This record gives sequence, structure tokens and C-alpha cells, in this order.
Amino acid sequence: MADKQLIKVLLVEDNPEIARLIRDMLRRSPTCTFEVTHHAALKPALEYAASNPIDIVVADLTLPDSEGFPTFFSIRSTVPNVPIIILTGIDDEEMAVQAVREGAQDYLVKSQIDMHILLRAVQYAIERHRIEAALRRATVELEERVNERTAELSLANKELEREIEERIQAQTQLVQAAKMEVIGRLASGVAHEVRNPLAIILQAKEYLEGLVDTKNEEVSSTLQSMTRALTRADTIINGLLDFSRISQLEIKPHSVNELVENSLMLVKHQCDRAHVTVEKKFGESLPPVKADKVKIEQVLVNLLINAIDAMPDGGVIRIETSVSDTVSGKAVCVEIHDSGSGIPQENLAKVFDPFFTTKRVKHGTGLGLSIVKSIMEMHHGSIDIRNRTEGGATVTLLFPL
Amino acid sequence: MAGVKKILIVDDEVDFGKMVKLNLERTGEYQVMQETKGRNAVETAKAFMPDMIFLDVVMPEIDGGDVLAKLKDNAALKDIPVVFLTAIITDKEASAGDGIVAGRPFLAKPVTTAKLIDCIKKYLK
Ligand SMILES: Nc1ncnc2c1ncn2[C@@H]1O[C@H](COP(=O)(O)OP(=O)(O)OP(=O)(O)O)[C@@H](O)[C@H]1O
Ligand SMILES: [Mg+2]
Repeated sequence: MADKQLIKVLLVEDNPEIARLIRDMLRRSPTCTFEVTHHAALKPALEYAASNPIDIVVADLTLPDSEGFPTFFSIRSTVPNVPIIILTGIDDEEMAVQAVREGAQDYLVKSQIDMHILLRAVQYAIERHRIEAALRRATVELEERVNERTAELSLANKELEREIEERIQAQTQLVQAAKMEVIGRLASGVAHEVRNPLAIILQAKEYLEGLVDTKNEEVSSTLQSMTRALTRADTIINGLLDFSRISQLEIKPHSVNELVENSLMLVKHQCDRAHVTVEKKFGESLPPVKADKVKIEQVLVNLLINAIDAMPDGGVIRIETSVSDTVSGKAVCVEIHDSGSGIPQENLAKVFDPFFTTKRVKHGTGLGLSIVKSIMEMHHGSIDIRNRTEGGATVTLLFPL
Repeated sequence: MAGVKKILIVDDEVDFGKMVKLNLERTGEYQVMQETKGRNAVETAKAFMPDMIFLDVVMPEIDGGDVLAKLKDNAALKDIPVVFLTAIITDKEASAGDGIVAGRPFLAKPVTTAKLIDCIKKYLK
């Protein structure tokens, strides 16, 4: 009989007849050995339960020292992890059902108890309770795992969001590049179609020049107007073409300081004429940037000329180069500060638009900054223009490293 | 007409060729033949035997590149200097390589008569 399972039962029943009956039935179990401890009142039963191992409680709820539900709750709170079977009379079956709802494993109507029902109830109760406990453990474990997974997922989610952000950016760049290509193709087409008639007009003008009295002031000023108009049209076309050609960059490592020096040399004459002085604050041993020399010099010259234009009565251009930390990593930074007019707030958003110019009278094309911006974008760099609090404007170029 | 150089201009723009002819001939130093059809260029060149040819690039039916190849294929014509005179490049681009683009001499339209003459003198030293 050593392999019979041992089950410790706490029997709480004030009716000695019933108590004996249940004891007998349990003793006769073929499969388990029941070690029954019997108490006729709640108080001693609870005392016993609090300090002794038990596998199951079989309890009448109507006891000398406790009546009804409170009996059940007291037991349950004393041994929350032990299954409880309620013994009940025919009259208070309703209450037993309620107790089962509240967590009792089962109930038995005293008048109907037979051995099989009792044994089965006890064994099932223990088994069910064991399964419930395992379920609870599994649930806790599951919850933990879900939490872990959730944390992982939210991390992955953030990663994904960043990736999407990057994709959107790449896509915007692609769209921009595609737009540029279309503009480029259009530009070359238009350029060709417009330059041919311009060539005829220029030749015709030169022909007529030989036939008229160029000493006559009106005649000569008319011819000059024609020449200017022709040059203007050609300049606009060339500007447009610059758009179409910027995709063909010749990228090599260059010293930014050198590019700045070269560009300054190209505008030296204009600076002198406009009484503009140049201050330089070059960063030492800057890393080289990967750039198309000609295009970046074109960028710098455009910006320098804009600065000079903004200072008709003279002023100061200060150029600073440095390495700076940006949100997307280190970059070589070129800042061009001028002490000119600055840009009216309402124009700030428009200065990069093609053909936006406040220099119509001076025949500005308004293409300068839009070309500059495209070139910077082709270098994966950026350009920013803002007003200085002390007056004038600052243009910042960033070349990512 | 000793010393007068013969220039052939092949360009589908009738008015352009006409104006160039007027301007160059007015100097008294050039005789200009105008051809507006690329496919007739070789025939015209054989008949005229120019000292130099200005050749447009974008023309209907046959483009300047093909015309050049045909000229180079012809033993009598292959040594005549040919300069592309075209609106597809900018003056800046032409000047950047000192008139040479992709290994070929180029002049950009619009072009002044002075530039045309400089160019002729350069190739007909
Ligand atoms: N440093 C500056 N200070 C004040 N205004 C400026 C400065 N740079 C640009 N702007 C404003 O931005 C406008 C657009 O500049 P952008 O270089 O595109 O064209 P533009 O200089 O007018 O013409 P172009 O470059 O063909 O000569 C200018 O007309 C001017 O109003
Ligand atoms: Mg400008």
C-alpha cells in the first residue's frame, strides 16, 4: 500500500454522525490514503490549518461558532492555496452554490453523500486546484513574457519609426532628384530652342549695326538695349541649364578653406568696388569634404555676391569655417555673415524659390540661391539663411562628414 | 580673290546661316556657303571645297555628329577643320575647355561675329 497517494484532509463538521460517516468513506478509498483531522468548530479548525500542512478542507458552513459565508471566507483567507469543499444541507444549497462562485472547489449535499461522490469530489477538487494554480503560474509567466515582448516590440517599433522616417526622407530626396531631372530636361530643351533664335537676333543686330549711323545717340542706345536684352535672356537660359547639369558632379576631397579662398579671389574686385572688407576665421586642420570644386566655388561666389549686393554702402563679410556637431553627425560648417540689409521676414521663405529676386532693376535672375540649394542637396549637405540680431544675414553651409 | 577664305555653314536655321553669311562676307575676307540640310552637307562641301566648316549639332534627319563622320570618311574633305556651332552647350562650357568639348572644337550659340572670326583664325593659321 506504500504507493497509495497520501492526502491530508481537514474536516470541519459539528455533526459527529456526518463527521464519522465521511471519515469512514475516506478510509475506504482504494486509491488514496486520507489522513483526516476533524474539528467541530471553526476556531480550532483555523488554528490547526494555520500551522499544519493540509491538502484539502471539507467544511460545513454552519458551525457553533460561525455561520454561513463568513465561515467560508475565514477558511479561505487562512489557507488561500488549499481547495475547499463545502458540506451543506438541502435547505442551504443556495449558499453553497454562492461559495463555489466565490472560489470553493465544490459542494456536497450531506443527505446525498455516498462514498463515490465524496472520493471523486475530493480528488477532483485537489486536481482542479492544482491545475488552477498551474494556470495562475502560467498566466503570471505569460504576462511576464508579454511584458518582455512588448518592451522588445516597442523598441523594434521605435527602430521601425526611425527607418520609416529615413525612408520618407530618402523618398523626398528621390522625388526632389526626379523633379530636378525633369526640370533639367525641360531646361536643356528650352535652352536649345531659345538660344537658336537668340543667335539669329544677335547676328542680325550685328549686321544692322554695320548699316546704321552708330554715332547717332538714339541709334547707339537702341543697339545697347538690344545687346543687354540678349545678354539677359542668355544668362537666364544659362542659369536654368545649371540646374540640369548639377547631377554630373565631380566629387573629390577638398579643403573647405581652400575653396573659400579661391572664391574670395573671384569676387575680390567686386568687394573692393563696393567697399566691402572680408574677415576670415578659418578652423585649423579641418577634415576634407567630398565635393565638386567648381560647383562649390559657384555656391560660395553666389553667396558672396548676394552679401555684397546687400551692402551697397559697404560693410563687412565675415567667413568662418569649423567642424560642428549636427543631429545627423559631424559636418564641416561654413558661415558667411554680412552686415547688409538682412532679409524681410516675409521674404525669408521665398529666397530659395527659382526666380525670386528683389533685384529686378539690376537684372537679378533670382536663380542664384535656388541653384546654390540644389548643389548643396546634391552634396547631401544643407544651406540655411537667417537674419542676424545685429543686422545683416548669415548663410550656413553644412557638408556632412 | 586671293586670301579670301571659304567657309561652309551647315545649319537648319535658314536665318542664322543667312546672317552669318552677311556678317562674314561684309569683312571682305570670307566667302560663305550656306547649307540647311545635313544630308546635303558632303555634296555641298565637295562642290565648294571650303577652308573650314561650321556645323550645327541638332538638325532634323541627320545630326552634326553623323555629318562629321561622313566628312571624315571622304578623302578630299577629311582634313578640313570642322567646328560645331550649337545651342546645346553654353558659352561658359565651351570656353572652359578653351573651345574644346569632349575632344571636339565647339562654339556656343548665340555667338558674335567677332568670336566666329577669332575661331576661324585659330583653325586657319
Ligand atoms: N545676404 C543677403 N542679404 C539680403 N538679402 C539676400 C541675401 N542673399 C539673398 N538675398 C535675397 O534673396 C533674393 C534671391 O537671391 P538669389 O541669389 O536667388 O537671386 P538674386 O541674387 O536676386 O539674383 P542673381 O543671383 O541671379 O543675381 C535676393 O534678391 C535678395 O532679396
Ligand atoms: Mg544672387
